Amino acid sequence: MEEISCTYCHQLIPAGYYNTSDLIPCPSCRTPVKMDVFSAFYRGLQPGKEGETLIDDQASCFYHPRKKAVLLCDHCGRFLCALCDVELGGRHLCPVCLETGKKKARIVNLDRHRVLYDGVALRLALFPMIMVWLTIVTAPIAIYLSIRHWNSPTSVVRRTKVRFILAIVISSLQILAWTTGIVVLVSRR
Amino acid sequence: MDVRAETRYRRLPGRGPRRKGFMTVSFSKSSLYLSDDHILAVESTGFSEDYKRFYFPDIQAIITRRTRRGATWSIVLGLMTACSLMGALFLEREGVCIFFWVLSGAFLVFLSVNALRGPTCICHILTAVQEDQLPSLNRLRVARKVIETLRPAIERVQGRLRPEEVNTDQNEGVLPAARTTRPLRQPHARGHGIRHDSGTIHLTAFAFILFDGILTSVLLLFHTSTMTGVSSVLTLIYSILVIVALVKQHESDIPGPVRRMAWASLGFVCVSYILSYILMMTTLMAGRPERMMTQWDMYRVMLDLSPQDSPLVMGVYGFSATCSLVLGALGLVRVKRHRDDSASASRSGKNSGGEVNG
Repeated sequence: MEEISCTYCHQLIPAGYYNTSDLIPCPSCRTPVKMDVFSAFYRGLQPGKEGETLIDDQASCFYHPRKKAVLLCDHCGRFLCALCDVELGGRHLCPVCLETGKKKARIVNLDRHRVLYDGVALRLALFPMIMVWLTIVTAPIAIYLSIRHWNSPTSVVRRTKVRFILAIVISSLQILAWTTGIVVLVSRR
Repeated sequence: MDVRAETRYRRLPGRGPRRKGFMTVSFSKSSLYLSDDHILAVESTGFSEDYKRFYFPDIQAIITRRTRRGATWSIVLGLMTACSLMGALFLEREGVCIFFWVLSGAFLVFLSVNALRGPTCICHILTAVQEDQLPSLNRLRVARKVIETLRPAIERVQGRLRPEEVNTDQNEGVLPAARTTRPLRQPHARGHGIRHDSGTIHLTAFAFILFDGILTSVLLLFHTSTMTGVSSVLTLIYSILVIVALVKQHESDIPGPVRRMAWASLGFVCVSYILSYILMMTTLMAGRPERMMTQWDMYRVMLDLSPQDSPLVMGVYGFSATCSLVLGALGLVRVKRHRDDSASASRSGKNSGGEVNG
């Protein structure tokens, strides 16, 4: 039977130590550990689905003409066999639509990395304020980034535009301050 | 096919950097979010985010391991507070006194926050293909709370684990060493085997600490600037050696007592440096600032300081000598024991191999 290792000493821990109510010392290194084990641990990896072979005048899979179609792709509507069906977030997609969706970042559940343009713009508006003179360059860049990426996908977990708005407001104030300063200097001469 | 707005996430408690040791310098913070069918681990730098999804049907186990990081920080912060309080109580100049009072107050606040957050831990999530750390679950209280939130969601999908599915024989005991070491299923394919370390670096470091302890004890009675200079060079050497030893003992077969001695040595080195700093500040404030125009001048004045000059210097020398002698001697004994054990184990291994071959 499969067993879990202690994450400190890497020695296998017997099943008797699983799902205890509190931390218990690892039998090898005595480090207090707690193993919350679920049913999937005993089931292991489930075998993949196989496409059924086509009989007589049944509808065939678009990608495998000899396999029986069992459902439609939720995006392109092509007939799919069980082998080609990819279930993601309750939707059934064909491999091509999945690949396209991944490339064009249309499937949020496949995103592994995102640039936070709102965070970049806000930091660009805030941090250079320590060295005041830098803001003459960074304020227009922050405004440009905020407008350019207003509709770009931001974080998967928060979707407000508040950072963009703050970046625009702060950068606008910086530009206003610079303009006022320059006007005052010029008018004094 | 726009599935952008479909997933709704709820933030789970806990936030922290991905840790690889006692001190972690990381600009990214990790946090966990709960969705209808998965947990999302987000690692954010503020400029970008990296995501990892753990779907409920795939989660096999969550492993929580208590660490000593919180306790170690409490000791370090406690020592820092004590040293700052010493500075505040012993120094006579009002400005410096205020500085040390503020410093000790700040350390006390950090100490209280660390104590209130409770014991520390490391959590790992296990699936059929990987074992990954959950850096946001770095406090035991938070980890328990999150696991209690996740358990019903996972069990709703996987079903409740029946007792007969688990072999609950508590008397199974420890498995034989030959079959026990198994690499963890890591996403980054790191080699996690425990390597053998004879402890040579530890031995050298403890020998230097012991030698410095003997030298400092002699200095308590017969003080010369040359000997103090040699002692400060020794301190520098064993400070470096202790850091190298701590790096080398990571994922090695160095036993717990030797590891603890190495950590204690690091603590001693830190306290020694803080005490030397306080001593220097006291000397500077004691009316000899005109003699200390450059770093070299300061060093020379420190070399000339004799334990007979003041009770504070005597106290620092006494503390340093005692700690060095105890740490050095105990460390040497423990490393020697480890080396003897390793040698006898390899001899018995060879003998049994010879018998099998014979």
